[in-house]
Amino acid sequence: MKKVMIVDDAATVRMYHGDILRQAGYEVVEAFNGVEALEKVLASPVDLMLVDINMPLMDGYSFLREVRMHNDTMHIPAIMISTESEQSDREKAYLNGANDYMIKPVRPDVLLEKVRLMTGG
Amino acid sequence: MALIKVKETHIEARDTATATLSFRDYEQLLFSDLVDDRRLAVRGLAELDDDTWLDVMIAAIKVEKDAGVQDLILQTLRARGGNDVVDALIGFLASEDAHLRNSVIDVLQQMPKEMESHMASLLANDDPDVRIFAINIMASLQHPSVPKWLETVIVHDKHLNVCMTALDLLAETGEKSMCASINMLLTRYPDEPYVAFSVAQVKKRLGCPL
Repeated sequence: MKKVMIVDDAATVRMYHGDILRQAGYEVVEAFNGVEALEKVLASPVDLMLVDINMPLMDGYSFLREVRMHNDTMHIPAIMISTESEQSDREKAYLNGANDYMIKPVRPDVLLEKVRLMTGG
Repeated sequence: MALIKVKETHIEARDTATATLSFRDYEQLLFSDLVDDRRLAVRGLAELDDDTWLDVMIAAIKVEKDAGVQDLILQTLRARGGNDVVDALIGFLASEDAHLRNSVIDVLQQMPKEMESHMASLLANDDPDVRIFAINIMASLQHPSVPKWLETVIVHDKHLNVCMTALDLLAETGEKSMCASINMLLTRYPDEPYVAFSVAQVKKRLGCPL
């Protein structure tokens, strides 16, 4: 079973994305911010990360930069999912290590299509 | 052992030297290339009074690259407090620097009294991202009006993501009396699965009739 980590400080976002993914057969790990996510992913790597940008303690950009510095996690694909819709936000996400960028709210079919593509199934 | 002695002597010498530094001396140090100098300057400036104090600190945050010094400046500003400090910090909510923005949110969360008079204008800001950051400030703002402010957002704000950020926080701070306002989101966004899901979750949490 492929494992996907959802990193978002909004509980309803974690639940919404988590429900969609669990129903499609994915194992889901949740984290409230970059610090918690980093601890979890270093302890047990995942197949994909869905990462918000603005979170307390450690934002999504800083989290991805950290993840990309560790041998065990540098290869893990990451989709940034944010409310920020400017082209500059998208570019910044890629510069900080994201593989894809989506704007909230994400429709279930679109999310699943991206996740399948990124996890290879 | 020798290394420790050298370090102690260095600090002692620096302390003696800084005892007579003026506001302008510290201001210069605040823009030094050395992180230790900048830390020293922030601490020194915090002890002094000058009409330009706030402007100097704000100018320093804008160019400061070290996260530790940036946080020290922000904590110094928080300790000083006041509406002029909040006015100046609010400007950074539109910053492209996510770390700085988060740190500013963290500081503003600790200033509930001052934030009270600024919240209405923040929630009316043209930039939806700034309105979302205003809601992020409310997440840890110890102020009794937070639930009411959030209810106003979900009823009146025209941006879906702003409403949903407020709704997420209402799950923790809202009351059963707000169920009708929460239901209005379903009418405003009838074809949005995320809205339907979140509204159901929050209503369940608050004990609203389903």
